[in-house]
Amino acid sequence: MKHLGRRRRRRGGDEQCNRRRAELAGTLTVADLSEGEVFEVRRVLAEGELGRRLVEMGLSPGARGAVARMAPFRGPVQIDLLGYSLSLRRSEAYGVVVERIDPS
Amino acid sequence: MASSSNVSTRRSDVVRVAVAGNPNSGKTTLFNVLTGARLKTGNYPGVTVDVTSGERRHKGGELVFYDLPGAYSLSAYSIDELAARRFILEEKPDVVLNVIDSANLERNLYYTLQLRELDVPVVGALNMIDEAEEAGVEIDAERLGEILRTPMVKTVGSKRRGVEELLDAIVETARKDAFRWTPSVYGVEIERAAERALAALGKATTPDETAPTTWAALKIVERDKDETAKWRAVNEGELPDGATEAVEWLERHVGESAPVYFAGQRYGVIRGAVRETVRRVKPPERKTPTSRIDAFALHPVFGVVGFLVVMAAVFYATFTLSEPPVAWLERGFAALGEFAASRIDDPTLRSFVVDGAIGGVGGVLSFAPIIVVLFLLVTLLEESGYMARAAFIMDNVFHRFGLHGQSFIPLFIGFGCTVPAIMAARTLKSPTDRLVTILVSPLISCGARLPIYALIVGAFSPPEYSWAILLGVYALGPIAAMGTALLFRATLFRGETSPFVMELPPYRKPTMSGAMWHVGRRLWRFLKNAGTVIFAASILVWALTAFPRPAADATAREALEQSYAAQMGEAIAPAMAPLGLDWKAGVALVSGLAAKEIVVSTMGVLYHAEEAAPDATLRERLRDDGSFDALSAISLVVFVALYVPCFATLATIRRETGSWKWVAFVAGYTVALAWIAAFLAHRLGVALL
Repeated sequence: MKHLGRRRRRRGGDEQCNRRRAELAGTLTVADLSEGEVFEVRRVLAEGELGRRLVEMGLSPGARGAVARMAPFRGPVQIDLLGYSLSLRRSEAYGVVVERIDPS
Repeated sequence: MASSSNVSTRRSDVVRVAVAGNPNSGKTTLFNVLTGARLKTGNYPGVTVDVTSGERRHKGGELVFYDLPGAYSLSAYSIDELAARRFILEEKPDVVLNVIDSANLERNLYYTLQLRELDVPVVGALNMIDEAEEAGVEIDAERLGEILRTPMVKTVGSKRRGVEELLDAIVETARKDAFRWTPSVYGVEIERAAERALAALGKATTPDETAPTTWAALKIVERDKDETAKWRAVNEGELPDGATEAVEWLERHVGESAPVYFAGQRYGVIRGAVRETVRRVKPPERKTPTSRIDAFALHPVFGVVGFLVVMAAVFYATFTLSEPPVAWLERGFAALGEFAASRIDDPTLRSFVVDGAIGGVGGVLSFAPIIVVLFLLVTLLEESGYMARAAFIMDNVFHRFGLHGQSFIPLFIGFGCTVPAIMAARTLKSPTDRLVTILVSPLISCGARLPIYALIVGAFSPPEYSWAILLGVYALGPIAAMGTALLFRATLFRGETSPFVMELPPYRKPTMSGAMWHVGRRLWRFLKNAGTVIFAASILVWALTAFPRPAADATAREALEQSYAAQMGEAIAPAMAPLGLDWKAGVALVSGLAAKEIVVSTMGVLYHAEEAAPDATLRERLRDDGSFDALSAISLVVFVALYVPCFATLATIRRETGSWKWVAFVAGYTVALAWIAAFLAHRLGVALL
């Protein structure tokens, strides 16, 4: 797994790019949350077709959701929002800037 | 293929209704309730996906419904979404019936809003309203309709609730012009940008000789690929002067990319409408049945184990359940062949009818039970919502090998038959992911290769190990597919795989009628596409083995030895020699191009040693044949597992990729891969045994 992880980091241009962008903005993204946490979308940093699709599927600024599941080995993330479940890759989750919300 | 006649011959008294909506909105169920059994499928210009249509009379008027593929958005992303969009744009239906999942209102309304922008008359069906009400969601349909300026009717497709009201609304809406949708609802920035873009488009060459619409301007503003490409194509590869500036002006002004901003503004409108029309009478449940099942189905350990169990069960059930009908059909065709043989005197005609025609049709039809059972099980899994979970589990592995989580479904179907597997790749969003999946899917061992493995492994391996060897041969497919996909990604198709932004739909109990409907559709497509090709290829192979005609007293073996097929076998013999295979195996492999199951029957004729007892089985004859040993068996099995798929697969690749280039590519690389793998396996065998 370690070996795969190294290769992934080298190949995963998208992930790096999104993460760097998020770091620059000094912000929290969906990928930084843990299971059970509730969030409100602030901004979608991913651009082009990916950004469009993320917003179209409901990750629009102001939308609230909860992280239902983070698959192991940096696998996909499952989010509950707008009354349905959405899955996205960890690398894509870095493109969504959020604010933590107190579940109560 | 494209026959536009069904749609283009317009009768003014017929109302043409396109049924559109998100996946999992109960669209097809509602369509079936609306149309009953009077259905037909057809291809429409610009639409690569079969569109099913059905008719219905309502209060003296005739309605025709077209069931469009499910789509989340009009900003087409997958082939299915593009097909739905093009149908609406090009066929210009009188009404679009937008099926909305009431329990999932906001995301479904996103599509509704985009349909409204088109200024086509829309009727909204707030479907599965019972589930929403049970969950404590009350929707003011009338008020929602006023805000979106389009009638909204509450329906429950599975219980036939609201169907009459829906039909009334459709007929009434068809008579009126749609209310014009104004871009101003999305804020002054988008409105300004759209005005500037419209002015720019007005001065340029238009793609369809009509004045540019506000809709086209809005699409340009949100950087829509399809619309942008259309305008570029007629304006020397560039967007008209001023259009690009309008988009850039918007992006500078709002500080966000145009597609992201526009989509967000649509959700702003939706949130306003929902705030005004939806009331929660009880808080949402924390633990739904779906989330409880997912706690297991997506569990890091149990989820993976469960996944393997489910797939093994489908696999096992497919081959055991289909075995008896396959045997009946084979026996039936054999009896029919004997009957025909006894009635026809002319040897050439007899051979044509018995071996060519009846053998060819039998080859296609006796394969149908496997397809039916596999389709049924896969459809049930899809309808239940489990396939999305399978993709969720698989994506992490597949993604590393340059495939997509959703490549899993086509590749899995490939264990049954490669033809529907290639067609199933349509669910993949990006053209590159889809193409890579199509290119590697022939490496998965289809059901027709099983008889070959069974024969050879059965003949040469100790019985107690044969299951392990079979498993290994089957594992060869996925391993080769992954490796090849990785290689293609590193060379031919560089760049990231497409996003894995996918809905995990709630689990639903699949309905048998719904599943049968999908199975019927898929089976029809299989028979139409593969049946004709397999049949034609069977005739071709028959001709190669039957001509030139042998002397009247020649045995079957002598006849085959001087046929064109044998000549081809001799020609490729030098290439086969390093694999430990002789010309007979070469002929069998060539005949396998028509359909893999023919390999066995060809071997049956060729390996017919005179000294063997006349009633010896093919298995025994193979073992006794001096030119075929265990090492040849290894080569042959590995070669069969990987080499060029049948003609039907090649024809399907041509159809799905639209290019002979990829057909030649698949034919070439699979043979090369099969040869290399067989050679290595053979050398390894020589070293070890």
